[in-house]
Amino acid sequence: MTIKQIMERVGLTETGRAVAYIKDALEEINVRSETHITTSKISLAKDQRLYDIPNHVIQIKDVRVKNHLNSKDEYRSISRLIHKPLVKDADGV
Amino acid sequence: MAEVKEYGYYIEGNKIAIVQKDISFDNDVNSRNYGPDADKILWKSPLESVTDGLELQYSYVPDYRINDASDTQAITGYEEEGTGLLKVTGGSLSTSASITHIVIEGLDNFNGLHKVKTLHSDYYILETKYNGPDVTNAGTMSIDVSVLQDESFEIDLPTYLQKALIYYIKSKFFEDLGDLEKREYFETLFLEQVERHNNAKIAGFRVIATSSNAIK
Repeated sequence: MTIKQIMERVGLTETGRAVAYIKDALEEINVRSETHITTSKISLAKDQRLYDIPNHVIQIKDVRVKNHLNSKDEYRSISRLIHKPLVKDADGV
Repeated sequence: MAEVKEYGYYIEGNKIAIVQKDISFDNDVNSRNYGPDADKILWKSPLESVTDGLELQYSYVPDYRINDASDTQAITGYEEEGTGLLKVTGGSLSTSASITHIVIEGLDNFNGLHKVKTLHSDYYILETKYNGPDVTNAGTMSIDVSVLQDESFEIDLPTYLQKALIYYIKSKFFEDLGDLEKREYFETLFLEQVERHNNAKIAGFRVIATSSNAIK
């Protein structure tokens, strides 16, 4: 379905307004139904703890790290910690 | 044999913190972790660099469509352009005027859709803010991309959910008009439609169980 068809079904005439509504709708649908899922790889740097989450992320589904509990270069899911470590690290975090 | 590693994560604002278990002995008598036992473990920042070591799986808004997935170009790195914009570098890049947006994959922080400001055979300047050092990082970019911005764009959504999208837009439309009764009506239809779509994909009974990556 194109934006034009949606506008006709809803009765909207302003394209900008329709696009804004559709973007909101797609976001809301993805929060509830996860229609589009992708993966992204980030390089880990020694002594760097924080990494940017890509801006277009709606929901993180899984976090996997290479060689976590294996030595076969497999990516495996890692656990989420409830509390961050109390002792400061080399990178000051 | 390579040493087996153990990682964990937590979220801090819009960043993800990756920590690694350090099981090396700390035999400094002045340290609170002094002792010969392996239970003197600490979570620390990654103990070594790993190329493509972290893999995030996430949902995103499909506000663009890649028309030809094979129409890609290699990126060799990125840097800050003079005015604080992101400049991705490569070699023999296409300068076709039809390239208005690109979708990047493989660059640590910049995966996703970007609007192109300047095309050059050695680099593209994007309308994405970046302040930082020059980085060498191999990635790819799709250049045949349609973006949700005009009436001809075809929404990439299952047919059943397209009806939910109509209900959502009507709900917001009446919300803006101040007609809350109709807003509630269409909101309910939207939620029911999405729920039916979710239920239709799962056959059989459902069991709730602790996952292997549950909270420690």
